[in-house]
Amino acid sequence: MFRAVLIRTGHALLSMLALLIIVFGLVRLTGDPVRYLLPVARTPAQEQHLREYLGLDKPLIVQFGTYVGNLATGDLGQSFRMRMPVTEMIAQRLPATITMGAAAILLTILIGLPVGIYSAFWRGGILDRIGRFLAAFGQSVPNFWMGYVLILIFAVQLKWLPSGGYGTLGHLLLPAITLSFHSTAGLVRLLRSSVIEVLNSDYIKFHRMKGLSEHVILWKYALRNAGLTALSFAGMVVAALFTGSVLVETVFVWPGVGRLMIEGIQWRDFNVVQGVILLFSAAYICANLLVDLLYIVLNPRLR
Amino acid sequence: MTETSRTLPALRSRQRRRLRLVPALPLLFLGLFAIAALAAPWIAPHDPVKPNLLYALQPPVWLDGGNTNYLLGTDRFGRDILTRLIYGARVSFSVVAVSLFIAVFIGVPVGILSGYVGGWVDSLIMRIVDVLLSLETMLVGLVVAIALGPSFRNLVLVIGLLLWPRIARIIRGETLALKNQDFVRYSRTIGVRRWAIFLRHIFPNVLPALLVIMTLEIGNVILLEASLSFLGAGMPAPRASWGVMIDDGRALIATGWWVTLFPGIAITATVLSSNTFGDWLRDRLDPKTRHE
Repeated sequence: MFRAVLIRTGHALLSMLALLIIVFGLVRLTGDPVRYLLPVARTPAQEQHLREYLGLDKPLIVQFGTYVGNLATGDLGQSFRMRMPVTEMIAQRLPATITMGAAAILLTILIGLPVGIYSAFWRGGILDRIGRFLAAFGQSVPNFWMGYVLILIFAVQLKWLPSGGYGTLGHLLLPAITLSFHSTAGLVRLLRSSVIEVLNSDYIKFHRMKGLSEHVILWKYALRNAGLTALSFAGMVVAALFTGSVLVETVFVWPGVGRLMIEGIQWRDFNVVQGVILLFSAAYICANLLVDLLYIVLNPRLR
Repeated sequence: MTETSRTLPALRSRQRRRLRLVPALPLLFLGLFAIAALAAPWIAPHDPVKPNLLYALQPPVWLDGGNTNYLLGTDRFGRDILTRLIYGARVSFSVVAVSLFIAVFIGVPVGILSGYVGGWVDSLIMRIVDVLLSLETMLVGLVVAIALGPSFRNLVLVIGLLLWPRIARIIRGETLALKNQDFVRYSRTIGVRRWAIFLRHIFPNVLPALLVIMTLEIGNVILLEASLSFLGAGMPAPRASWGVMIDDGRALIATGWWVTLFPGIAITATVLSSNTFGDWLRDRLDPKTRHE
């Protein structure tokens, strides 16, 4: 078990390094930031001076070395545009993204868990069919479009909720619902099939023969097993939430990290883009690592 | 035992009835999608990009002020929504076709090689695949598309290159299972060359799995294309892509909701159809993983 943990952690670190190299190279392909930072009437000498100031005149490998070195001390570099540390900029925006993500995860669990289990238990029934259709629908709908549909209904027509902005619970509701669409649908589908599988397994049949009530079987035994499957879904949810946040934050003018990245790309602000992608990927890789480790701990067969 | 034998016939007949409805509807819709895509210049009533400001923001025909010339209304440049939807299908269709071709072109040979040869080659390839799979498709797609500039070529390249590891992994799994089957062992024993085994024995037998994963990826590609285009990193703006159309309508949500609504419905219907069809196909071709 210790070995498995070590291997998983090693893989996670390797993924991070590969990602860093890819992103570092890609971001530099997006164009020369000097063009965006200096006014149109500029001299080559000014350009050269700024490049030196930003450290962009050095060979790529040196730039990369400096970046990784600083990264080890927790420094993500300076924003070219704002002249402030990237860590500070991310820290300012992160609470908004995390609030939205946490609300979306809460909604996913509150809706996805009961619907998924209900669908499995009463499979073939009319409500199961509706649930399955809604889950398939939820996975097919583009979430940014869903955001506009919700704005159209609840902000424009009914005037119940604001169409965008940040601050109150009212502002949070529509973005969180929008963001939770995909993950709720995914959780319903996954839970449904894994609960069905467990309910058909021999040892549940044994409990049934013993005379345990269906209620006890479902909530005590089937759910515990299906929970393991649902756990493997958690890493995907984290990824989907970050990706989704880029789109949903655009729709609802939400001042989060996703918007920060889009702005960073538009201004060729290399360090900002690198910082945000690094943060997202680290969160994704860590979530997956955590899930893997929890899986090893919780699953008696792997112990 | 008695329980299964009692429920089985009932279950079977119910499944048979549902199976007829399920591939029919999605197939019908995917057929419409393909026709719209291939025949766009002949069936679209107007020009997809030419502005006609006299008829800007006409509502759909069933609303007050609707014009029978513009069945689903017009956008703020007076371009016909229905026409742009039809041309949007053409864009989605070509993005799906080309990027899936790239992904299959790389993924299938790599997957077969990795599964068949095994050893350090397999470990190395799978390590690379793992790393690529841990990349967030949307984020990387966004950076690359903006890095190289938004265009059709860059879009399909990015999507194709991000997609091949998923195909490679599945093909590798299939190859591993095939590798030790008697007919492959026998060919090996009598000295059939390796590439001939790949071509004649492995490749035809991974086709069903390939078909399933390709169908299931159609929806992903369409959503990815729409998301990137929406963010301005996919198809360049005047082109009629469904994602660009949603972006066009975002400031008009209060006054011209139809500009945003219809392309979203088109995306959802297409993705839903291909996902449902893919699920059905998988159940048909591989009874082991049948979802009830």
